[in-house]
Amino acid sequence: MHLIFLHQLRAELLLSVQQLRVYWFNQLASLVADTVFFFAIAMGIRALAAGTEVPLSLGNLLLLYAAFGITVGMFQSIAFTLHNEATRGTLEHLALARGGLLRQLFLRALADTFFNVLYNGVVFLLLVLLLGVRLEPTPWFPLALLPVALSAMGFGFLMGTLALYFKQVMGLFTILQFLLLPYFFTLAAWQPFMAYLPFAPGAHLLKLGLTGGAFDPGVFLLALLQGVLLLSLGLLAMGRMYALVRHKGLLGRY
Amino acid sequence: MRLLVQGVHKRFGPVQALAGVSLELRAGEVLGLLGPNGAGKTTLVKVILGLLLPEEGEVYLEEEGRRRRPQGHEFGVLLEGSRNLYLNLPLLANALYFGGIRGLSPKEVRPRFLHWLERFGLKERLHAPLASLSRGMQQKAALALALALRPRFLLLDEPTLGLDPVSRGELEAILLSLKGEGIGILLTSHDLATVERVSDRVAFLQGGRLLREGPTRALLREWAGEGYLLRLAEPVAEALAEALGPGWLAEGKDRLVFLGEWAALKEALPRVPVEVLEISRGEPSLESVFLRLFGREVPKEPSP
Repeated sequence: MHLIFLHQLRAELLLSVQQLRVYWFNQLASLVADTVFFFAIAMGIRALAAGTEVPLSLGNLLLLYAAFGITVGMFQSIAFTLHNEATRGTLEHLALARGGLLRQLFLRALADTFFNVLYNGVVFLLLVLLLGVRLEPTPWFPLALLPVALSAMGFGFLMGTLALYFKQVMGLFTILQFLLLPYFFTLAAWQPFMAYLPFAPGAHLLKLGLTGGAFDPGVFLLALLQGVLLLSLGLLAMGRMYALVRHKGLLGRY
Repeated sequence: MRLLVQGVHKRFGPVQALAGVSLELRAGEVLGLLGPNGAGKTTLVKVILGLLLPEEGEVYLEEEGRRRRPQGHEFGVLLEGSRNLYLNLPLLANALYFGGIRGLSPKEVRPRFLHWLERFGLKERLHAPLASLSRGMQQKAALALALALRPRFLLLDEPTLGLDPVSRGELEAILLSLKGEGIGILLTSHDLATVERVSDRVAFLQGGRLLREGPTRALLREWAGEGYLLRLAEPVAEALAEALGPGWLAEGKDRLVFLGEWAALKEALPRVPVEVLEISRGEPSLESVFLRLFGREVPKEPSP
């Protein structure tokens, strides 16, 4: 069973490598574009904030940006997969994977996340070098990514639920991405009432981790619970929608 | 081991795609699933694979008296109207991916895929992107992968689409050899000659209903019956066959087929408005059965 799971995950990782090999030029161009884009933003922030007190240092802002990039990537992965596979006409073959479509989508999301982390990590390191910033993250900072990642995966499945039915949901993503950016950054200014807002406890923990704060086990458990709940909700919705599209004969259609 | 389809009903809005279809596919046999466009063949294949959920009915795998629902990964599949592989990736990358998601390691998939590519004459294209291959070669590559997964049942929806006659012959030989290995094959195709040559049994679908099902040879004897081929002195309109009445089929512009007894033909011959140059006994074929079943107006809701 474990071996099968590993074969499936390896297949997804190899697929990503193959796609990178085929479309390396576009990936390289995106990497340069993102670096230049965020470098310009960071320079702008630095100029505007000169001589004033800011809640986050530039280095931590960059870390938050990287965490946000990874989160949005996970958030979009499943729906993008469904959209792309439906366009290519291979979605039904993906549904014939051992363990079914949902498991394979989960594994694809994991593989995508791995490469997304690499990509954002490279952009982040380039920005750090270009801006000459000093980092002040705590050693436990990656732990704060776990609940955020679970929540993002849960939201990813919820978005995937829409993509499974409507196939094209890119317009919605464009809106959500812009809505999510300020929301995500606002969450860094923690208020107790935010405990029940999606991503909020995780984002707060992330901010603590990035700004040298102390690890808060209560917030971590709350964030983890929220992540597990969102992931369960996403999987449940996706399972229901998967049954619906198979009833309606919409799975292979685009 | 056998695959059982029992009382499957599937409806898409006002369209009854399948109406109580029951079928059986045994290990080591080829079942040809035939019917005109929109008869429900692809729908049935997708129901078996679990890609469509029926309103009623079940699909089972029965082994040693025990029944269970089959999983999609247990089938080798060639889906019609859907791309079976990624066009932008090399053949080997496709094989490793689709084998991998079925739970197979590269060590298991690679040699099997190479074996089948060699059989199809595509071994040297192993690292070529699928998009660089012709439509027929792409079909062969998809078939090679379906076979490399070593399934116990193979569901092939229009596998001869885009294949040249030589490749079609190779495919027929491969299907016959797979039968010998105990693989059950469900074959939907409009290529009736291929189905006739490889299938042990055939099932005819019309309007989502199973019209007839049985051993190919028996159906040929029963349905084609006696047949006569008439070569005409000049071309005639296709509508002539219909105008002549039951038993008449057009075959090309200057040939007519009469399905029936010699006495009935003698009686009907004067109604043929052009000179008949030659009359020969026609061999019963699946095509003549198909034409007899579907060549004329068939009631949309035939009585069960």
